[in-house]
Amino acid sequence: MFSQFGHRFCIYAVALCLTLLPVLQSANAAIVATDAAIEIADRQQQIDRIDDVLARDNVRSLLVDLGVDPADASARVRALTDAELATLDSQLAELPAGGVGFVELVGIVAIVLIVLELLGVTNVFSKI
Amino acid sequence: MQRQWHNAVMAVAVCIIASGCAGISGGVTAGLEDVDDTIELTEVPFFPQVTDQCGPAALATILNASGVGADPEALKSRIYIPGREGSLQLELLAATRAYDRLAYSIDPDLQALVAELRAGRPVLVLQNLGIGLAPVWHYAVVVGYLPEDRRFVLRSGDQRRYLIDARRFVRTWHRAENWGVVALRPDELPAQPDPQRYLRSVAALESVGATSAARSGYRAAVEQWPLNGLAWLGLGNASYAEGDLDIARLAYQAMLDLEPGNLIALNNIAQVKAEQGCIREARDAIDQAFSILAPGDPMHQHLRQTRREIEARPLADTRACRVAL
Repeated sequence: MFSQFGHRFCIYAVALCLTLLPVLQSANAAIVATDAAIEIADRQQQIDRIDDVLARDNVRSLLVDLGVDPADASARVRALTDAELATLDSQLAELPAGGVGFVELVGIVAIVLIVLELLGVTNVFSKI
Repeated sequence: MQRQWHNAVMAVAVCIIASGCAGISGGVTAGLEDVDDTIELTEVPFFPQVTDQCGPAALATILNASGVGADPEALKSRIYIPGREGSLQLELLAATRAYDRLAYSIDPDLQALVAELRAGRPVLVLQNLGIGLAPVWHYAVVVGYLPEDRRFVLRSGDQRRYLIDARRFVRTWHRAENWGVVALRPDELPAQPDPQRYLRSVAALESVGATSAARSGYRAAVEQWPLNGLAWLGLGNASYAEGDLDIARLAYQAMLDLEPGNLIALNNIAQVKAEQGCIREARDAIDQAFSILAPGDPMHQHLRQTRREIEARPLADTRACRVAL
């Protein structure tokens, strides 16, 4: 009897969580919007904070490690907004870096076509 | 048994390939049906790409089209990362701002892309020429669309006028999440302006110290969206940063009229009035803010700071303030 009650309680709790989830998320979204407005309003504080942000040092050294000239790296870090810095700080390695040359491009397309040819044509059509 | 398994894998592969193709022949080029006239921005300059530096070449293309004389060599030191053999989107945006241009990300669809071309602006796009698992990232600049051939015209790599089949372009663009950006003069609005995104671009310009350019951007924003409080706030802040306190106060007042009881507006009005020597009015504004402040509001600390600063000033209003009244 008691365990049945416990079981039911669990179901209700999970259902409640699922119902509340969108509410909580939208509440967070509203808070972000206000924060954004405050950040814009609070320019002086932003300027004061710029040199203190740890992310700046971190991103700078990440760039230098990747072969960027140290002097350039400082200027580049200064050109980023705080939000951009935070993104680079946490995701620099995963973000796409566009840089393929046109010659490579033609080569890659050729390889893809050859692979498709090998996989798709010879195997698929002979077996089915 | 092994053969059966092999067949099953192949069947799945065929399904994936077939469904991919089906998706592509479907509405992938949606947004292009209504385009029946040729659009090509022939005046857009071309900077042939050196080795793996499509980022600097593409960025130089849109900046020059926007009237900024920046060459790829100068941009290389701002956006190229040797260890990644390429450039990051974020740094492209940052470098655009460094030349007092707004970096505006367009809506991720073909309609927005064509709208920018029609407005005479080339669009810098990211493409994934590979596949999801083995991406090959490439920046190019779209300068035209030829509806008869169903082809886009790109400045790409070492090709001044690279014609690419529309569906092929769409697929490569889609694999890069349809990312496209235009460089706008600070007083210029995009073809399909989204207020929030536009203001964010202007605020980014402002936050790296380009207050004069940002002020032009906010002025354009209040003309376009006179009922947007954030646009007035931005105009107020940029004017304040430029030392134009009268305009700043009027802009904050406009925001407060639109959003009565807005704490940011009240705080900034109090600050400006105090600096103008109108201490009584400044106190009134900050008192009003405290009277409506909810417990736990994130503005609490900020308002307290402002009140401390105002209370530290002598209560006597200056003559200039009395004249203003």
